Amino acid sequence: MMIIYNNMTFVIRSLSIAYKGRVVLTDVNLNVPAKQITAVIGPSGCGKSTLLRALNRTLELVPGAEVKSGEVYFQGKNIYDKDTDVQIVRKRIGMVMQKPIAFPLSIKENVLFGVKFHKNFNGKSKGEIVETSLKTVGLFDEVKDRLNDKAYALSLGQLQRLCIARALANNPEALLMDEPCSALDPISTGKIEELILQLKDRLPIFIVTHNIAQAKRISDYCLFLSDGRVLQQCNTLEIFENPLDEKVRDFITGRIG
Amino acid sequence: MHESVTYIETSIGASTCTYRRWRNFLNTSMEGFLWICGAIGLLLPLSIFGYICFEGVNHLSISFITEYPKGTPLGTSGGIMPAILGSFFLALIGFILSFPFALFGGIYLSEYGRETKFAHVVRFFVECLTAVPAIIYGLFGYAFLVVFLKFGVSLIAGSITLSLIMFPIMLISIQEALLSIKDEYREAAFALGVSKIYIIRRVLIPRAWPSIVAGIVLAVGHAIGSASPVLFTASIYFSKGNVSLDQPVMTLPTHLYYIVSEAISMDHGYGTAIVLILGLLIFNLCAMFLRKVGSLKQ
Ligand SMILES: Nc1ncnc2c1ncn2[C@@H]1O[C@H](COP(=O)(O)OP(=O)(O)OP(=O)(O)O)[C@@H](O)[C@H]1O
Ligand SMILES: [Mg+2]
Repeated sequence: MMIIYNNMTFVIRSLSIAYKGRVVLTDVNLNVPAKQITAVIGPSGCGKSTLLRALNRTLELVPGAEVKSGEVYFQGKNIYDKDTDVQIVRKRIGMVMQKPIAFPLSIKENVLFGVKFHKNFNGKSKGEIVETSLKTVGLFDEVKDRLNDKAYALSLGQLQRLCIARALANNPEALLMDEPCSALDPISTGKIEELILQLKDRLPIFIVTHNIAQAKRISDYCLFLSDGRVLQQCNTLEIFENPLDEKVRDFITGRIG
Repeated sequence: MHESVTYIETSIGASTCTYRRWRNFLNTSMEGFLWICGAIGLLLPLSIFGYICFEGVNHLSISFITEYPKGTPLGTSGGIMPAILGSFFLALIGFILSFPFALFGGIYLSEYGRETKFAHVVRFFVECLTAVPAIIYGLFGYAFLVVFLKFGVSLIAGSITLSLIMFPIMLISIQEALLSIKDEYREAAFALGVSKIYIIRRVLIPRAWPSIVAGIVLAVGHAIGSASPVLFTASIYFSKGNVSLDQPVMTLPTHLYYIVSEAISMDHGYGTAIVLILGLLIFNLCAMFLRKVGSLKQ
């Protein structure tokens, strides 16, 4: 068993999740190698966000949510073990939500939010961390003159990139993104897709998306969920060439959405 | 101005349709009625304040603010400096005593005990507390603090009584301010692996800050202006302005009450009222400033 885990960042074993006793995710199994972009697709309410939240233990913030069975190994260690530190898990596995949230702080302090808590400077100065993080997401030139201004003056697309910068500043080893572009215009979406492809060399990325074309453009591997069950999981090209199930075919050809 | 524009617009199309004319008449008159109701909100405080200013402004002077009451009967001349000091310290000490409890209590109810039976019970009783008339607090302060605990009629007894009045108002507004922050903020912060305390300190309090200040203003303003809680617990008819925790003090509302009810000097009464209102005004302005500063910092 250990051999499998060695070159995998995530190993998910028969994961099942329920909200207040109602099972919404059944028996998910998945191995994720490093440097892979995994797209999670499927109709609304099928459990995509639930799966994502289970991967960095933010699921337990939802009242009533419960992992019924299964394990999630990250770098060979089950994150649901009793002795795991939740805060460390969340620090190591960054997350970007659908709706960008600016904390009531300056742009600079938003970027440093996690870093300051974890004292995770790696010998760099605060200014350097802010600059590299913002440069990675292509925001530095746009905001370098107003780093001390409140963050909520930014546009939605800029805000989402700020949120990604905030997650990256924490120096995560994996990144989970829940429909990061669904609130954005096409140009901002393009920028974020570019950024995701660029980040791929650094860390494995999970992305939930409603946009089939987006999944096709950026992901290496696809996980198709329907009603809490995996209907198909395979390389992205394959799912588009050879959808195994009628539901999958209807979905990726755009007949249901 | 606005009404007349609407009227012209409608008169063009409505000439053929009495129904439409009638509907527009209703809309316009409804809007006018609402405007009047809104204007009352402006007119009422302005006219009360204007009237008091008109009556008392001649009586305001530097010496009125810096001297203690003089003359026979006392209060016909001199000033009200001891009452200003007394009210100021009563409110300040009352605030210092109650704010930490209200802040931490509000944080607990919103962030730790949310939806628990305990939180609901606490909230219910605190709400009852805000509805208790101020004179009941005065009576309690007198019976418990002044007599039973033998504090005597003193600044400390009055301050504690005022803190009891301020506490529930502040607690509720702080709890509400925190509750109104969407969970998305908490989730986004938790996802970075930080602790709850850190989120409360760096996200929730800064975000709730303007509402928290508004709650403080409401509570402290209410406390400064009430005579009944301090009447039996802290106030005295005359003092030369020395302030000490175990000694009674003069206060603005009780001074006003004495001077008017004993028909000593209406002029003095109006003067005192202006000072009280101005004090509250200055306090509100400071709070507005604090609100800005609080939301700008960091
Ligand atoms: N807090 C909750 N309490 C109870 N049930 C929930 C809760 N959150 C989600 N669910 C249910 O769990 C199932 C999966 O929800 P989830 O949010 O994971 O779906 P999703 O695939 O992300 O949908 P969408 O595409 O609309 O975001 C749904 O049936 C939903 O109704
Ligand atoms: Mg979702």
